This record gives sequence, structure tokens and C-alpha cells, in this order.
Amino acid sequence: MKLTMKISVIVMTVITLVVAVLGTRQVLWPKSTDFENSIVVWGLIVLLGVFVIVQAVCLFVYPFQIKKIGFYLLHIGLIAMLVGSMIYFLTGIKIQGYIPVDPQGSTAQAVYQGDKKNLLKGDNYTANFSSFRFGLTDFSVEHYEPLYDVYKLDPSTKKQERIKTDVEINSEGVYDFGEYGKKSKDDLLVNGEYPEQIKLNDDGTIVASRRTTVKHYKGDVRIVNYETNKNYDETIEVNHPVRVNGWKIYLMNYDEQDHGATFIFKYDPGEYIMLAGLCMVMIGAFVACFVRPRQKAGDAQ
Amino acid sequence: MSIQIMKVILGCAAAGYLLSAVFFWCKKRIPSYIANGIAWVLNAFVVGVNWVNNGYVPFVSMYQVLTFLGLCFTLANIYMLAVHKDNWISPYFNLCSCVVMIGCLFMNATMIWHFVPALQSVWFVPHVFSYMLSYSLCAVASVLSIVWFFNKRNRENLDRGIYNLVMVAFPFMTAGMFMGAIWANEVWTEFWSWDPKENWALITWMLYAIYLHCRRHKSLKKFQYVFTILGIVALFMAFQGVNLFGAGGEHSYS
Repeated sequence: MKLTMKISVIVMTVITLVVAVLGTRQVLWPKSTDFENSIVVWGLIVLLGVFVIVQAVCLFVYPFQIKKIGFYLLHIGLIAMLVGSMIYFLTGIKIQGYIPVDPQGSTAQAVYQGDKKNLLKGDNYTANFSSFRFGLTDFSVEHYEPLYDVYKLDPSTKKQERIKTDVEINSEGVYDFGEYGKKSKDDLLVNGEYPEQIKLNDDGTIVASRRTTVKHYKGDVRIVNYETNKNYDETIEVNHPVRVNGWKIYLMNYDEQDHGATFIFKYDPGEYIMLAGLCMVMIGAFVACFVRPRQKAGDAQ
Repeated sequence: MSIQIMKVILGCAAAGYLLSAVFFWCKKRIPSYIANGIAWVLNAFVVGVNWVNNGYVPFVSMYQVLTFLGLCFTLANIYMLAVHKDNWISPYFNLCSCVVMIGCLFMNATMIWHFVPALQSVWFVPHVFSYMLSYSLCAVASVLSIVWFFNKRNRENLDRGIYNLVMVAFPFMTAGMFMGAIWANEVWTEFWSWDPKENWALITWMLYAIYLHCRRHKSLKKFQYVFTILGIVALFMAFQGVNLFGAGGEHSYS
């Protein structure tokens, strides 16, 4: 038991050290691509493989006791997580594609022209989308009411100095720029849009500059599922991917001018194993740490 | 309410937390608790104003998260008092709150932050809340670990205190990290993307896990506090360092 614990600590320390070295490089040189280097990737896989074996040995070495259920959940969960991620690594597929809006929803072929990626098979992997067709029928973007920052222009140096930030619309629909006056929403809107810059004095040396943030964007999609022979519409949003025949479809970005959106199609057979592992580790950690006998000072249990 | 007024209030909260620690060490318990209470109310007021300004839980900017972290120290302190009766740890919690409040004074305290689509998830609040609670406990555990090296008389108490703190912090850190992974799978398509912030969060978690393992092995026990001290270094890197070096990656808004 003591030996297993010692080996476990050594393996964890080695993994921590390796990630710390790579993590430090990543922070100091943000352009470093260590985590995409195949030697690093396979090195980490070997280390995590050893970690899984040590976890499994730990589970066999310690006789089962109901009071150690937290310990068991945590360690089985870790194994499940790593197995799930390995399944994804070996068999997962991720494809990115740009799809323009087509009210008929028949532009699914665009997906095939996107970047295809399979971790083992490289960029040339061709996905099989024979079980469904996917098209974007409509797309909408909602913005927050813009904020304005006030700048003072120095004509001699032509430099702008920010003198006021975050001027927001008040409950009466008015932007209050203090000593530079007030502007109502109705005065500002041109064709339903707020201007990028507002001149706040006659010579134009004091200007308010618009800052907009996207509040929400969503796409209406049409899915033709050849497996179930069903044809249906769904709404896809950030944080709310759509599932079709084992594929998970994510809305990643949009192009307001071209009226289209970028999607990622992901096939991950290890996803549910990974999710089960994550839940087991979380529950196991709480049970192991909160349901325990009170420890006396200096106890080495 | 202007940024300047908020910073004055945060300054008063920092002074209150500091006074509370000083009173406690001077064995003046009642003034210590009063100072702590006033500082916490001032701190909570700033968090409340941020909440009202945003219209949702104020976890969007580092300034907002830090003001909330200040509150967590006192909450964690109350828990430790109630469960473990370790009231001698209280001034360490107050000192950590004071440092965090001082940190807030130097942060970009922009009042209005819009809630971008990626953050609009049910995982957002539990992910940040779990992390803040665990960070507050780990910070105090690390301060006690440093004290352990210099204080040879009170080592038994310190040893027990550090262990009790980490035992509460660890499950919350685990929940914070793994809820983040589930969220990432919904928004960024992957559970784990080896992003700098994720890597340093993993390093922190591993270091505290190693500490807990070391405690259970006689010959490794002597190394245990090396890992809690390294843990706080890694925690600082994950929480602040990655952003200070401009390597926020996917987490650039946190």
C-alpha cells in the first residue's frame, strides 16, 4: 500500500512538472505550440496512461470499505475521464465549416468544404455526413445598447485622450455626457443604428466613440435526418449545441455582412464516458473530503 | 455611483479587515469581530452595486471577481469556526481579505460589463463561485504553511488547520475545474483545450492532490508543505499571472 502511494505521488509529481514546464513556456511565449507537437502529445499520453495504471492498482490494493466510497468514486472517475478522452483522441472527428443563410436550408454541402480535423488522421480526413443534412435558414444578432467613451482630440499632436468612459443610456432613453450635453436615443438613431462617433462640440475636438457588445446570436437550422426520415427545424445558439445522429453541432461565429455562420461538427464517442467520469470525480471529492473522521493533529492516517 | 467612491469604500473595507486582524492578535476579540463585520458589509455593498449595475452576478471582470473573493474569506472563516472551532485562523483570513481589497484598488474598475454570449451558461456562476471559495481557503492554507516553517512551537495546530482548510478547498476546486470542463464542452467544443489558464488550474489541483497524498505517507510527510506553498504560486499563476502575461487564451475575459 505504502509503495503504491509513493509511486502514485511520484507519477503525479512528474505530470505536474511536465505540465508546469509546458505551461510556463506557454505563458512566457504565447505563440509556442508545444501542445500541438506530436512528441509532447504522445509523451503526455504515455504519462497519463501510467497514471491510469497506477490509479487502477490503487483501487485493487485498497480493500473495499463503504466508508471509502469517496476514494473509489474519485479514482474510478479519473480512469473513466482518461479513457473517455482517449476514445475521443483515437476516433473523434471535428469539422469546421461556414454556411451561408438559405431560407430553403439546402446549403449543407458547404460543410464539406470546411476544415476537417481528426487528431490521428490529420487534415485530410473526410467526414461521412450521409446520415443527415444540415442547413441554415435564418440568423439573427442582438446587441446591447451601446456604451460611449468620450475622447478629447489634441489638434497639435493629433492624439486622442479618453476623458470619460462607459456613458450608457439611462431609463429615459438619453445619453448624458455631463458638461458636453445630452443626446436622446431618437436624435441619435440613423436608419435604426447608433452612430459610431458623435461630435460633442462645434470644432469636433470632443467626440464620443461607440462601443458595442453582442448580447445574443442564434441560427435557425433545418435538419433532414435520413436515419429517422424526419425533417425538422431547430434553433442553435452559443452554449446550446444541437445533436444529430451522434454528431454535436456548435454555433461558433457569424458574419453579419455575408449573412452566414461558422459551425463546428464534432463526433465524440467517448463523451458520455468522460461526462460520467467528471461527475464521479466531483462527487467522490466531496464525499472523500467531507465525510471523514475528524483528524487529530499530526495524524498520518 | 462613481468609481472613485467605490474605491474609497474598498479602501475602508481593506482597513477594516486589517484592523480586525490586529485586534485579534491583541486579544481584543469583540472589536476584531466588529471591524470584520463592518469591512464585510462595505465589501458586500461594492459587490451589490456591481450586481445592480450589471443586472446579473458580478463575475465578469477581474475587478468584480476580486471584490467577491474578499467576501469569500469571511464566509470560509465562519465555516471553519463553526465546524472546526479553529478561531485562531481568523486573522489570517482577514489579512488575505485585506490584500485582495488592496488589489481591487489597482484594478480596472469599469462599472458596466456586458455579459457576452459565451458566458451566458448555467455553469458560469457555480464554476466561478466554487473556484473563489477554494481559492480563499487555499490562500489561507498557504500562508499557514509559510508560518509553519518559522513557528516551531505551534506546529500541531498549524498542521491541523492547514489540513482542514485544504480538505474543504479541494472538493470545491475539483468542482470548479470539472464544471468548467463540462461548460467548455458546450461552448468551445472540447472538455479540455490545454489553454494556459486551464493548465495552471490543473497544476494547482495536482499540487493540492499531492499534498493530500503526502500526508498519508510517513516518509513523504516531510514534503507536504512544499506542495501547499507551490500550490499558491500555481494558483496565483492561474488566477492572475496568466492574464498579467497576456496569455489568457480562451479565458481572456476572466
